[in-house]
Amino acid sequence: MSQLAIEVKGLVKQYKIMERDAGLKGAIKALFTRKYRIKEAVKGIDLSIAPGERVGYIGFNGAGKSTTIKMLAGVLRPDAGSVHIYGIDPHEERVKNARQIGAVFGQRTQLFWDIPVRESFDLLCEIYEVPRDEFQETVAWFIERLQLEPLLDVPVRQLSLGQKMRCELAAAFLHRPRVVYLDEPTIGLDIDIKETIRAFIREISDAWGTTVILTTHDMQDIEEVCDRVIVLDEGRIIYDDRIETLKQTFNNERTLEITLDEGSTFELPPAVTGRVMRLETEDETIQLAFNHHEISSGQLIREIVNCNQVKDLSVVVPKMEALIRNLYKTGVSA
Amino acid sequence: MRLRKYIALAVSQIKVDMAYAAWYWASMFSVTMRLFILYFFWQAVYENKTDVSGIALSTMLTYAILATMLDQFRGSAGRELAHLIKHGGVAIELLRPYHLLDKLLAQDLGAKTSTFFRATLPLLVIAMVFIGVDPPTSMEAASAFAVSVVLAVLLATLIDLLVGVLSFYTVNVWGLSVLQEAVITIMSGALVPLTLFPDWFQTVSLYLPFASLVYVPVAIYTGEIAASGIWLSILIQLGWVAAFFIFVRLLFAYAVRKVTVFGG
Repeated sequence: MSQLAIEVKGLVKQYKIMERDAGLKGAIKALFTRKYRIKEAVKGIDLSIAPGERVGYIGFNGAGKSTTIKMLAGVLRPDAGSVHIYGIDPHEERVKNARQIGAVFGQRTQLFWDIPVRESFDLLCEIYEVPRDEFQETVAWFIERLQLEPLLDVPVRQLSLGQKMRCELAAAFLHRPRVVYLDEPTIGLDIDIKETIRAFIREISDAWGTTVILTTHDMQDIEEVCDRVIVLDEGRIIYDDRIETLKQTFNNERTLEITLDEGSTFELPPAVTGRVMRLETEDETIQLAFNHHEISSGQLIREIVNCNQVKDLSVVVPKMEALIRNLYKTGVSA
Repeated sequence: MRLRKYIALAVSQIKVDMAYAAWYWASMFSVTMRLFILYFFWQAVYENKTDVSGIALSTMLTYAILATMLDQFRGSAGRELAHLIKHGGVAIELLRPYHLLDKLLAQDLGAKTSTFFRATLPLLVIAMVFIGVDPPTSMEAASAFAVSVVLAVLLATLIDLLVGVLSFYTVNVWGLSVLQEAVITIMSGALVPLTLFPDWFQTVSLYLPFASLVYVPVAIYTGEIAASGIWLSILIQLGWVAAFFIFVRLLFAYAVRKVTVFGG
């Protein structure tokens, strides 16, 4: 029987936010009467994620990503809907579920602040009841892949951000969880460490079939780690598909950036009207978005150069980031 | 419940305590000072008397020293829990395969074990050499004292945890925790034996859990609680421990169900 790693149906979470008038008067008033405003952070989400899938879970700040992840982890109780992680309801059987999941919450440490990294790992081994030989094998592997050797005897509080994040990652995978939630694991890190971390996630997930849910604002993370993208906007899923599909959808999108000679004004050649779209820009450059299928770069450039005083031009192939931004604008749903 | 992980947590807490040497010496110093202040205070009180409410000076000093020692074992688990809740760390804790209350209890007992060996024992030696501590009144009193101390320490942690759990509801429990400290200091008998208080006060404290924290074990040791009353006192302690244990767990389970915002 093929069991889903993560199965979510109709997930809803509301927050009660206390409203208070400004100033001292408001503070005093709030002592006696309290007004609440209901904010719906997650508005009915369905997810089916197969074992071993690596899913990029993205959206603007406040889109409901962290809230969803906390509900998946069993830390936050959903107001409606159901969550099952390998058949276990994480809120009803929190401890049982805790054994099969791992997590990195970007800003919060799960290591033990005052003791050296090595002892943190040992303690986690006891807490997760990992057999000793399996634990040693895992740790040896992680030490090599994440270059942890020089960090092992350092107390966690003395680690730099990059060092700490590597240790956090090791800690999250130490008990060989079936599902791992990574909430912004690369935030604020330099490119080398980002690369190390991405390679690590890929390798472990391939080796153990670990299901990974990754939230990030760095699209490079998604491109290099994930094979599926879910985009969340204002508590709703607006896109859910393979990463290749996303790329293909927008694959033929190009932008032509043009800088004109000083003093000359831009003129759009009649031959291309309707096939390009002029984008708004903040500087002098002129940006034309077009579809590679409708008009080739070469043809467009020829037409433009013919009737304008062009100083410089370049064709830009959109990056993942632009694709996502495009998604928010057009709201394409799969 | 697998005990091993909780033992590992307790041991790790002992190691953490070792890491803070400056804090250790500061607290050693302050307790030593407190001992000597107590000594001079009671010397002054007994200046022209042989007893106060039927208690001889040496008994009073023994009481004061043991009470001071025991008072060092007040819980810190509740403060830790309140901190976790206020700063959002509780989210990480709830991801772990253990009961958070048991984890805090284990860490607290670890901390207390290290306090016992690193602070209580040396201080006791200092007190014995420079001030003098009476031996227990009987073998029975000595063994009952040991049992009673363990129960008192457990109860202190549970009461503290109760205040910690309340911060799920109020977030900031500072005021509550100050109140708790004050009430415990007076009503537990940590300052003076409860027998020095007016009758009505003693009657009230009979029905409250605080006397079980300090007064009961120390009074068993000094013989103020007579041999006939020892086992009843311990039974009452046991009752309080059980009651708080269950109550804190229920309250915690309820709080976790309705947890809303953790920030982050």
